[in-house]
Amino acid sequence: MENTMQSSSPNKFLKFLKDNFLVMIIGFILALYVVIMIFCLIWGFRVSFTPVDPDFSNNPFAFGSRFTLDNWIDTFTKFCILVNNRNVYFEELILNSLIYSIGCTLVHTTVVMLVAYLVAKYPCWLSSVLYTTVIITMIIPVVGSLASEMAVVRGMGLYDNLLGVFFMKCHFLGMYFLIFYGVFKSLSWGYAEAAFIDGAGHFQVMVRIMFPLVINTYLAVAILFFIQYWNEYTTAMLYLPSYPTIAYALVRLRTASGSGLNEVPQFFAACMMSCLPILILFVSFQKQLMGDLKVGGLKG
Amino acid sequence: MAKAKRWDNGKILFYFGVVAIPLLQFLIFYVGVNFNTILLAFQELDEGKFVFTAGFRNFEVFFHNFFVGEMRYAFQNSLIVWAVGIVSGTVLTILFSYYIFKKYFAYNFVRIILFLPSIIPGVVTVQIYDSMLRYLVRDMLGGIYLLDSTLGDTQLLGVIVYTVFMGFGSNVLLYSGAMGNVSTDILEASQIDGAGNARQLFSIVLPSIYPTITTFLVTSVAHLFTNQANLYTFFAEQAQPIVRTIGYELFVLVQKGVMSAYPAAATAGLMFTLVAAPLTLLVRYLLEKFGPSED
Repeated sequence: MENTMQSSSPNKFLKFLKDNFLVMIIGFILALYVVIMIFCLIWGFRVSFTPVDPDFSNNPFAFGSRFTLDNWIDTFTKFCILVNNRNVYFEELILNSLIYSIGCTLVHTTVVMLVAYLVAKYPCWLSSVLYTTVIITMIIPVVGSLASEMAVVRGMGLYDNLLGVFFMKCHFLGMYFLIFYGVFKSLSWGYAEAAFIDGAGHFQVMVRIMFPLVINTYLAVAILFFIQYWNEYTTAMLYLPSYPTIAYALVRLRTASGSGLNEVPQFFAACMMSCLPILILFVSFQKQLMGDLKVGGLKG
Repeated sequence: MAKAKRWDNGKILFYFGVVAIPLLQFLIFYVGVNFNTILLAFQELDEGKFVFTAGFRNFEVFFHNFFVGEMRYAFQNSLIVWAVGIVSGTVLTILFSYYIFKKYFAYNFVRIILFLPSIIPGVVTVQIYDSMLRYLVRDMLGGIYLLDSTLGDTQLLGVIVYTVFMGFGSNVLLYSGAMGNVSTDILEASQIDGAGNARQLFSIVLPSIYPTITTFLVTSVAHLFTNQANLYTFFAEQAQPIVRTIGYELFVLVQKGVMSAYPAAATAGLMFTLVAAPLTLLVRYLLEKFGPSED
């Protein structure tokens, strides 16, 4: 009996190892990833509170450096980029980022949801065409249409025009269409039919019955879009030269001097400050963001 | 079979009222823009206007740049970035998603950390990464700064490591979301039958999320020649030819704001579309033919 117990313990341990080997490997890689990522962020944050030192490279860990808010204050007072012969300061950059990101997010998310709703709930030839179009544009890539798009934007007078850019973002193509489509497909049309019998119109059914049912998906997609637009700098660079955003300014600052913040700690302060709005958003809506986004296959 | 009910005027008005603006946008910025790309490939700039006097000259210049010039590096780099992205972006992302799906130790915290690079502006993560390499990692690598412009291959390696490291975010969300559809009954039954984690992942979870994997793989091929690999954020217009990708080349051509370069960019785009489109369809066909069936 004792012998049997002694031999079963190593066997159990071996079986445990065999069953969980994969998870242990994944866990190890993830632990490494998490440690490196947290270290990078803490280091970046710490450097932003380090006094400006011409010999920064001698003490990059900032050991023994005093803690200072000077770099963060300098971001407000000195950080600027030259646009159309005038300096655009931090506050205006943030304002431009907010207008651009909120506008594009609202327009883009709403359009994707609207079209997905029509395609899922109003079957007709155009709905089939729209669905197939989304799938085809995801499968068949178009490379290098940027030059042509620029020519069209200039030709239509939409260049350097916020409303023009919002119109450009009124598109329904891409993976988020499939997410909304999947959600609408899974919703029963029974609610709508009951409302139609009670005299509701199509618009009322859409706004007052169907959309509240997908509000969590809308919020999650909207937050993802907001983050994407907040961080993106190419649109501001190419199409909105008079409305520089904070992301665009940071890219310019990285590669050019004369911005008022030329030292590493100062630049890190500007970087960290630009992250604050989205970090606040992320913390506030973490539950919706980390929720139930699902995307299926590409059946055309 | 009953004939579908005819739409009344209210329904027609509602449908077309809602779809009108998105449809107009699509016609202008997808159909119109892509049609214009074809036209631009045969045009050149003359006194501020694009005119059809180029014939096939833009194509001759493209082939010269590709076979004799430096564009072949960009082509090669695009393939390398894509291949590494597929291996790491798909394999590691699925493994990480599985860890989160099975709710192992600190899974929620891990999910947040994996997602962080997606919410922090690229320029910030690039700056942190660049500074880490310049000030902290350099000594560990015997004085080598990975992003040094004089070190071609090493510079590309530095960019690829960054791309992989920062690229898990939303893909992990979508994969773990897809895994949420896997029946827990089946997983429990397999566990009772003695299946370990690896067995469950490969025999139950992967076949169940296969449509999602297909979607990611197909769209990744579709983005083969549009991926900039964050090169502009790293180097602005100064990236060395040996690290450039096609996506970067085409972006910089337009970004410089020189209208005379538009036809060249459009021609290159057209040619790479001709490569990427059949390749994407082929990958989709192969994935559907040799993948697990839905039954």
